[in-house]
Amino acid sequence: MDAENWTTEQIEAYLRQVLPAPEQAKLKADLEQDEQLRAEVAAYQRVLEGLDALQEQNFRVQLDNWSAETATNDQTELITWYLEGQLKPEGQQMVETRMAADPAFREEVMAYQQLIGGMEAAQDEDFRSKLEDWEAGMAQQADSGNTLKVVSRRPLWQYAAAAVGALLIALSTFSLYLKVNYSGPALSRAYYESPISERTMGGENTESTPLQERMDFAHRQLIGKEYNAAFMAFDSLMREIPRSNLDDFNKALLLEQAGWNRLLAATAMDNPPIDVIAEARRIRTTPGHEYADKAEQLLNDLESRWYRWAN
Amino acid sequence: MSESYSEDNALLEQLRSGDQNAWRNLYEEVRSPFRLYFIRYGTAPEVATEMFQEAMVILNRNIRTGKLQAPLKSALRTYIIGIGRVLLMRKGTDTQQWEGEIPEIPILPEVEDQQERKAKAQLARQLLDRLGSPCRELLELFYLKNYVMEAIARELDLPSPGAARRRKHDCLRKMRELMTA
Repeated sequence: MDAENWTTEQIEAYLRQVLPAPEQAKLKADLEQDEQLRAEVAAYQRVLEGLDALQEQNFRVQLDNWSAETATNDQTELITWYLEGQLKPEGQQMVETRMAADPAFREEVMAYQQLIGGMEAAQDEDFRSKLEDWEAGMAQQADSGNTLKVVSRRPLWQYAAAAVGALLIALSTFSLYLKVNYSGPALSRAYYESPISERTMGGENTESTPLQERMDFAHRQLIGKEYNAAFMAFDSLMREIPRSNLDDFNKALLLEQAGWNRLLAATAMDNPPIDVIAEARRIRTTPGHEYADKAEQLLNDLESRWYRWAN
Repeated sequence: MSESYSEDNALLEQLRSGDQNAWRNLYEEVRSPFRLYFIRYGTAPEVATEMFQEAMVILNRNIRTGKLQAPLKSALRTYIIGIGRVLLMRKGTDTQQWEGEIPEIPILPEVEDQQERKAKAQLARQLLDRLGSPCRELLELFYLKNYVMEAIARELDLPSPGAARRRKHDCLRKMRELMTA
């Protein structure tokens, strides 16, 4: 096949390397044989390379236009990269050399440094204010309308890190709050009351004195956070009080008191020997129980998510 | 590594078809990370900007000539930064210690002498100017503005894309004949 048998389309496809493989091989073979074809293909190559080069020139003009539109922030970008520590030592050195040689540039860097420093201070202030809100309201989100809005140039990951940090602090503060208010010992202390036996058990009954002493001793153990010992003491009293010769009213009153304080001791224990929720429910539902109302409140706390989180 | 870069492959096709918005978006998206990458290591900002322009030109050339084709072996951004590194290495800067930041090495671009390309462009411009207006317009639409045949047919009021294709090759042949005329 000579030069005239290959079309312009085929020659262009050959030069662009998109001619089907068999034709590509055939044309290549013809080129080796045919000098006129070689000259023809070389001429087309020059034309196509010229067109490609011309396209490239046009593209360069377009790039220059885009660059002119986007380059206005180049200096600001450079300064923020420098101030935010995004440059390696070589890059930092380059900026510092430029600052030393160009007072106007140095002034710009200083101005941005102040600006960014101010924004960081505002962010710190904002964060401090949030912490105070958390402490005061415990896990209530601060009203965004009351917080200082700061337009920051920081990258997103820094916000994420700050948010995670803030969240950890908030969780830690909240966890502390729960421990202080909803742990077993905290509930035990909150619901504890001074013994009422003194106003009911006087000297009229001789048997009341040893029971009173044991009751007082059990209370001291409970106040002294000897929860296991206090539990055993109140539990023992609960078994003995019915066998005493106290009148029914005082028996019932003392029994209710011992039962309530045994529950408080159990609530404070790591591994209570009784089911505290069931016991609180029993007290609440016992008709006329001196501590029924308190038991209901305690039950609410024991069944709350705060108690579960704190324990 | 068998990452697919499906989004970048789709973008590559848009770039190949001469989609100006796609080029513009790519330009704006990559300019800043490209500059930061090189300025971070001490390259002067002006040099980094020039290198970015040149890298975009080379990307354009590699796409147009089919040197860069789907499926991509790296993200386009990585490829462009890779071109920048080749340019910098050719200026004598050792970037070996930067290896860790660009895990995938793109196909090395051919960096041609700009003077040589300028001469070729000049020849093409002269030949186009000697062509009659209809042929010049058609070749400019196809080769300089990357119009597809359907668009050329519509633009020049030709009956079909096939007719536009035939006309294009007629015009190319005329242009080639002018070279030796």
